[in-house]
Amino acid sequence: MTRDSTSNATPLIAFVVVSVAVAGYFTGLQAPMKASSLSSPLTAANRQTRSTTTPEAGVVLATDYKDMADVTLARRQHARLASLKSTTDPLAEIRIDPEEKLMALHQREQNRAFNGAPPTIPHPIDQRSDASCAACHKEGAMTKTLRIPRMSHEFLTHCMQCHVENNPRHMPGTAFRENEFTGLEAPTAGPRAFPGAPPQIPHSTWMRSDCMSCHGYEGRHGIRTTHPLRSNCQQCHAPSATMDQTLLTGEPQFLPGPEIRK
Amino acid sequence: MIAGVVATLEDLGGNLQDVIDEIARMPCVETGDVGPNPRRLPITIDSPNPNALEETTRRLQECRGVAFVDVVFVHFEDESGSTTATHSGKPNSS
Amino acid sequence: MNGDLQPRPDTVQRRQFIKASAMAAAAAVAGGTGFLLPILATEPAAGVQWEKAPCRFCGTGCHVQVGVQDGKVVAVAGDRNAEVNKGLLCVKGYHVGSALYGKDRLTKPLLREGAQYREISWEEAIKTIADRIEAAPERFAFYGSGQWTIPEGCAAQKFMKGGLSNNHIDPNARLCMASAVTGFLATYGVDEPAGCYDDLDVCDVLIMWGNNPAEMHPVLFSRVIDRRSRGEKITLIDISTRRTRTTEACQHYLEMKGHGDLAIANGIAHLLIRNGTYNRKFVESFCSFKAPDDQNPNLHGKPISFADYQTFLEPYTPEHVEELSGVPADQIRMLGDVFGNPELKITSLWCMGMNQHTRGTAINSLVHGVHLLSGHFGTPGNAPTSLTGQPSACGTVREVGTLSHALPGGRVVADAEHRQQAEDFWNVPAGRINPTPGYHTVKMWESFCTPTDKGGDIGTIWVQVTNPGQTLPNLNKLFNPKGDNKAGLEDKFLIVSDVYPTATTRLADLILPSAMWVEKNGVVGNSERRTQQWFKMVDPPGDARDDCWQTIAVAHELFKRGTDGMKDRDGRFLFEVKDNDNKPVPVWEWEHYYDVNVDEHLFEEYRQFTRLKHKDLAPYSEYVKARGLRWPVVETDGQWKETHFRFSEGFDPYVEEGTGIQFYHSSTHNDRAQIWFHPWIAPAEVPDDDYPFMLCTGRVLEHWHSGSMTRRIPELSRAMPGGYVEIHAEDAAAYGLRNGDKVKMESRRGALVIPVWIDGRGKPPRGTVFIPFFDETLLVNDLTLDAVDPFSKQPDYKKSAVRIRKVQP
Repeated sequence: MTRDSTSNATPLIAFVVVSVAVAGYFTGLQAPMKASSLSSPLTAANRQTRSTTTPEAGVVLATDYKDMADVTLARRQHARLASLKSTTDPLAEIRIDPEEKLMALHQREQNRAFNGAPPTIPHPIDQRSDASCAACHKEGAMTKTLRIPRMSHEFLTHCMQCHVENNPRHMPGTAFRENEFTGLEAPTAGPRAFPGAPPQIPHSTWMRSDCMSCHGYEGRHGIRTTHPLRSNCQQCHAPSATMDQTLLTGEPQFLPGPEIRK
Repeated sequence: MIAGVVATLEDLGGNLQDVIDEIARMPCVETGDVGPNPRRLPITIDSPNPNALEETTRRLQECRGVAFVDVVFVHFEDESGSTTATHSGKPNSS
Repeated sequence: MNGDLQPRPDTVQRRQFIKASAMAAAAAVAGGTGFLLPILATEPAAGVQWEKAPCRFCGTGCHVQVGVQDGKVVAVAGDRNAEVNKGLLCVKGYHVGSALYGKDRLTKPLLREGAQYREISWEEAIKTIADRIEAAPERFAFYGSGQWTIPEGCAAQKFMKGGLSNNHIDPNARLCMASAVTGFLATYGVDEPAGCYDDLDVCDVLIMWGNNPAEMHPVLFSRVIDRRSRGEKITLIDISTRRTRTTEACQHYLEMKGHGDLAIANGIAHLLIRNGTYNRKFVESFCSFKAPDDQNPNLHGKPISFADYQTFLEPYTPEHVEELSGVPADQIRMLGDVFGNPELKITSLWCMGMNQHTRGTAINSLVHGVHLLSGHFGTPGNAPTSLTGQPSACGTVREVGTLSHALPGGRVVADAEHRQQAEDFWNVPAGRINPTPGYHTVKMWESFCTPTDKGGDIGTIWVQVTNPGQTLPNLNKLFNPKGDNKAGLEDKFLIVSDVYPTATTRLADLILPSAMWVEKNGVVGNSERRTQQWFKMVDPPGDARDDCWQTIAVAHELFKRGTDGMKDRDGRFLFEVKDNDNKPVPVWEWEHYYDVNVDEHLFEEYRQFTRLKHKDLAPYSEYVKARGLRWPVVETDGQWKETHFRFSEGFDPYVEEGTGIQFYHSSTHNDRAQIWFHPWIAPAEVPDDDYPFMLCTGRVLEHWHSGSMTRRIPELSRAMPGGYVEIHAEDAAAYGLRNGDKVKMESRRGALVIPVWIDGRGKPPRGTVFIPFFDETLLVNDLTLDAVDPFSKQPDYKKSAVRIRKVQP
């Protein structure tokens, strides 16, 4: 190309490029960032907000462009420490309510095969390592929406050996065939020697050595203890040697008494 | 104040019934019927104030034939009529 | 309070009431009602009976307490008085009770008619089986299991070898432990580990050779890592072909290619000699050297000198091992230093990675060799420990000898003296036992799936307690042809005793409903030589009956028909059982089966066999009392004492005083163990241009093997609903695959459409994929190959070549 035609072409090309860019800029602003939208970009009503295929397990749906501001605001609100804090008063008086207790026990049944079974995990987990389990479950916590129970047993290194997910992320949690197993039910109360006596522990304390994990502040409401500030539970509440399967099971032995002449 | 107590009687050679009759003669005291164990006697005390109750209990304790007295039930009253009731703990085992 | 105020009428009434209450309370206390101290009162959870049993699942052999209420299992707890697990269980163990209650439990015998089944009576079922056997007894085969109880194995073994003179009896354990067996035989002259789980409590170093104990033997793995979390210093080394949950707990991860283990073991031995850190005294006192005899391959090989051994190992420098295995030379040197350190107590663990291997016997021998060469043997914590997968592969298969070449107690059919001893113990006529070994598993099924006129000389197979339709390799060759109408196999008959419909019952001609676990008596033997017993606790559903009874009932039907094989030396029924008054009990009639303890009868007969190889078992009654006992169990001062460490003086009562370590079953008859050299050899199938990926298969924590029981347990099924293929993220990207996408996996033998899981539980390296085999709707064994180890005849499930294609949705 000669110098003359180049100098003529350049501003023309520049103009085309710029105008295309400007036009594109404006159309880009107005159109949603979705390839599948067919209707007019500014009409919210008849716009498809879901893709045609169902979402796969483990895939988090992207926030819609128009919702972005609200969603971010809401998320930041929720994440503020003050709104995370639990509204339950730790010092409030606890009253034993049989109905609440039954409800708590019923809730417990939902993620255990039987009384004494390790509970299944209701949230997604890291499939490979259980390092993150202890971060929440070693101490437990209560937030406004979450109840994070403390491990009821001593620290054991391999959580996933006994606790498995009940709704895994990598595929929908389905049961292959039906099962008719009915598990042992949880006891509703321990026996008392007389009215007002401290009830005996009606369950094994094996794997349930930290009483406060179920009966303390992070426990379910219906089974919380009325006296959480007393920390030495077994001082008053007796465990059962048989249920604990200690080697001391069996009837207590005594020396024979005096033989009385008739 | 109303209190329920149990007196454990000891056999001093005489009739247990004499001991029971003597207790029944004390003012403000009512005796009940003995149950399967003839030495354990349920008693109610109806006294005007806590001090009198204490005094009555002490006199019961000093009665001939009474080994010891366990307090089972105390009903506190005040002038306005509001009440609180307490059950005391397990008595000495027999 | 002053007396001025007159009490009001209602106050008077109230006071009367209160007085009455006071009197009532006092009277109650005086009368002693309601405050009996419940010292001897019954449990609050009234009505639940707790009994002990070993867990139904893996070879760890945890003991559980089973809670039974109203004739049903309602709870399971870890048995705190058990040495194996000390009250701990894994998720399968906790839910083992639910395994009995799947809704589609088999309850009636079913006979195939066309494409459907007809419910029949047990009489008809037994007669059908007897008909088939009578017509062609030499064409009958018994496919048994490492999940058989010891008495079940005894019954089948005696029926076949001591009855029908037929050696075509082989177990599914051929597919899992055979190479471990040949490795032990080649090294020590006798099978099974010398150490026990006590080693895990004191070891300083734990090495995993291609296994994943965090998922497969979780309670044993926890035994080690819990020590570490209590502050002990333990080093865990994971030698593996992919990252697993075990890897996350280990300090060192050595990623190797298939068969890299052969090179690594040789590399360690090479370094031990080069650095002079091998245990000279141990080797000179207790070991000899062997190399394979290529002219005449067998488990004895040919003896070589130490100098020869050193020469053979010369090429296995760390750099060369890196080439062969993919593991960096530095890490090989690290292993050499570990083994070269006499202060460390080293336990090696392995399972299927080393056994399901076309050079399985070799690698087993090599790992034993490394421990012997470095002297890490015979003291607590120093142990090459082969782990068993199934609950009684040791107890039943290896000890009762339910293999096509074996007899109980470590004997073989080929040895005349062994045959005579077995005939004496079984009280059968001399010459009854056939000296020719029968067909091993792969050959048995290959023959079954070959038409009779083309040399397929197995016509009937009876399968008990296993699922070959899912677990055999290369299913399109070894099982699926049975269902192909054009395969020419119409005359073949498949009998399956199982508890649920499975991939095997799919093609069965006769399905027999069976009792499982605590629905029957049982005795099993776990990985550490511990034999454990339990009693029946609940009834089986419907018409389900014990496998052992089924075998005896068929035997009796044949006896009635005059089959000589069913008579013992005195002409009496082979399985005659007498009660305490010495009167025979008709145990072949189901109503009378539990009149006596048939288990005890078979066990006591079998006990006699165990003395030859010093695997002495105690009387049945001892096992009733204990949470298992480790053999040899020897009576000393009136007590039955178990053995913790075999071949070690002070622990093993059969070791002579002053010897220190005595390999008293040495194959060279000089109390020495054999350190073998085996060269590295490539896998039978490696990836190439057509099939560029290496397929590895295996298991997951939640599911027991083929999943027929665990997939019917809701907690386990929900946690791991179905099969998948693990693939590296970059490989997935290359194929445009996202999580959950379906792919078609193809090998030279079959094809499978399966979803993808990227960065899932396991992380294979580039070029490798992994598929678990628990899902019966995704039969990975359509893809695997049936090449076997030359000595053990065990197939290799870990190395097949496959290709991937994305499937459009």
